[in-house]
Amino acid sequence: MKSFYIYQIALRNIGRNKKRTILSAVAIGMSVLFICFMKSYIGGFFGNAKENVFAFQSAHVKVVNKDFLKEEKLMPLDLSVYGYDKDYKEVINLVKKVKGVKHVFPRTKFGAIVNLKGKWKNLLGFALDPELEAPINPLKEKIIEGRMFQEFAPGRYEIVMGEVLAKELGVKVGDKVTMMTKTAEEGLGHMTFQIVGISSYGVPEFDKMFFFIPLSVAAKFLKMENEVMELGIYLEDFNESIPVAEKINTILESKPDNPYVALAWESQSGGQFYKAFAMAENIYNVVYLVFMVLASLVIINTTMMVIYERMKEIGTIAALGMRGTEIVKLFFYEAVIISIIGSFAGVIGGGTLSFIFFKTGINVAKLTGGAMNDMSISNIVYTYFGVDLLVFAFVYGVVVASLCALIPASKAARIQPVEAMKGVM
Amino acid sequence: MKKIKMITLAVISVFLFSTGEVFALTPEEILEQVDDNEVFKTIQYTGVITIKKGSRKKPRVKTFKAAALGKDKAYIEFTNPGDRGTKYLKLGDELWIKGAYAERPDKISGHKLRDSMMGSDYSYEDSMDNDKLVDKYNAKLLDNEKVGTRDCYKLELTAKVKKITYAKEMIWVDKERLVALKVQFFALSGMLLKEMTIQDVKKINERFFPIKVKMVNKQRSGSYTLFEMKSIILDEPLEESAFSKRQLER
Repeated sequence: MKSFYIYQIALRNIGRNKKRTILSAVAIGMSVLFICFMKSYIGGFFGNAKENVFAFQSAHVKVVNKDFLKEEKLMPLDLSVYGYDKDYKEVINLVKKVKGVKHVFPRTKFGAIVNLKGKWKNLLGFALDPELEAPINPLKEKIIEGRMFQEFAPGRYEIVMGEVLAKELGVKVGDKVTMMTKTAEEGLGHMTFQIVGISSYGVPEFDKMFFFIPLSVAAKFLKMENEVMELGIYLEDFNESIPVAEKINTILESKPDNPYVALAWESQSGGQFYKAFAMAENIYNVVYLVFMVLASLVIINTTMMVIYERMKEIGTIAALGMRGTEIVKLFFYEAVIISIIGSFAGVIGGGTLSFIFFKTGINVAKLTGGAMNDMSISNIVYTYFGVDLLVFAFVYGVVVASLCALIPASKAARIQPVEAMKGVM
Repeated sequence: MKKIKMITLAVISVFLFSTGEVFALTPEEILEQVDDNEVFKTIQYTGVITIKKGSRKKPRVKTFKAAALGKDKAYIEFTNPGDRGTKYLKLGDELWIKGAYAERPDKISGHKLRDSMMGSDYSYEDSMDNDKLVDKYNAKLLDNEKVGTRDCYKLELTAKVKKITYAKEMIWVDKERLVALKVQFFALSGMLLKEMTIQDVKKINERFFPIKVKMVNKQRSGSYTLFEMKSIILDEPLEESAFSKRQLER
């Protein structure tokens, strides 16, 4: 029998018990809705973590002093990027020659302490060139009060402070704060800064930890003239980080006694953090599958019931010459049609929800009661939305539910016409 | 650094005030003499600290000028280009610091006193320690040993007070000059933390003064701090105002 006829019979059969069909479609629809939205949320969540980790910590590739890696936790400022003859810009010029490199940012992250009425508080300083960093790390846009700092001038040591940190320190724009640090020369860095701006990235971990200063001020505070702690490199495609890092290393190693190494984000601590997220994403994929299979139990159950109800009918059509594979096809087509209806409805619902939160965002900080404040997650996470998401949820729903229906359908194929027709004649 | 001065002066004092009957001294008496002879009215000198850390090839050199009035007041100002303008002021138990770009000084207190001073193998506590050894430690003569070519008494000092930086110290005292030539500093667990050796002693105003001291941090391989004193002036009058916070803020 031609598949088209089987399809027509399947379509007719679906209409024979509308309530049962609706129940199956709704179960699949709910499941697809959940999967669509969860995938959208998880995608947005991990995408957010990725952006934050890349922007603040790992970049796509980072160039650091090889010896720095041995003592990274101590943040030793004397193990810096200082160039070969002149300054760190020599290394930047080398890195820029590599194909695929889009931006190279000189950066220095360092620890500092501030005396708060006899108690010392640890802070993290981030020295950067805001103009250069604007495409990736638009500090200027994140200033919610005051203005961007100015470069060093005698008596002018300006900083921008994270919103939460400023609150914790009880300082505001215009206030002065004296900080202490260990300089690159192992001496004492002690400087009084004026807070000219308050920034908010909406990432609790950063807003409560970082203050930002120009590289020219860091050079004085940390005794790091013409040197920085790292070069943050951003690529055209972050997935190319490993080959690009290798190319950079080849160029760097061509210099005699080269002290630097390029590290792809995957091999850095920040990158590992993101990789852990990616691994978690795979686990979620398994969760989606389990969830979909559970929802498919409804369609399995419905199909089973239909088979038992239509036992005599199956016997009759089998006696008339319908083969086992065609009987399987019949029930499989029924399941596919129901899955398509359910998955379509689920995608509409899930897609709508995803789109709404893609536009408005979800206040994760409020939702979790601040439980994620120590992770690189923004307060507001925007869900992911795209055609690929909708296609994935739809196909996933149809395929899993249809495949599940094969189990009872294959049972129908094994029915013996004589047994099935008992009582008919 | 104060610790070195203290031990140095104490040992010098032992030399100055001893009558030659040193063999008759009990360990406690040696310590008492060390402590009794620690006193000086004032001191001024220029210092050089050479800091070598781990695998880093190049040692860092810091220069400074220092002055002290009695045991409780000391002032240090760094003069090398990298640290120029960094000042330390000790007033009794308080340690104040001020960097070249800071508008106000900060007081170092609490656990921060255990941090390294200027990246050296001396902690702030080391530099501030000026208590009498006899007040802090019970002494026991362990042995006679040589340090280099010199015959020394080996004394074990165990803490008799709870609040103390080092639970145990071992001192090797030169028998002839009564100068400590080596000091080991131990934690409560018995772990050796630091070892100090006096490399050069100079006779100044009839005193023997250690002018070159090496401190080795036993917890960091390849790390040491070499401390040298130059142009030493002892017991010349100094103004009290030279040790005020106002002086620090200048």
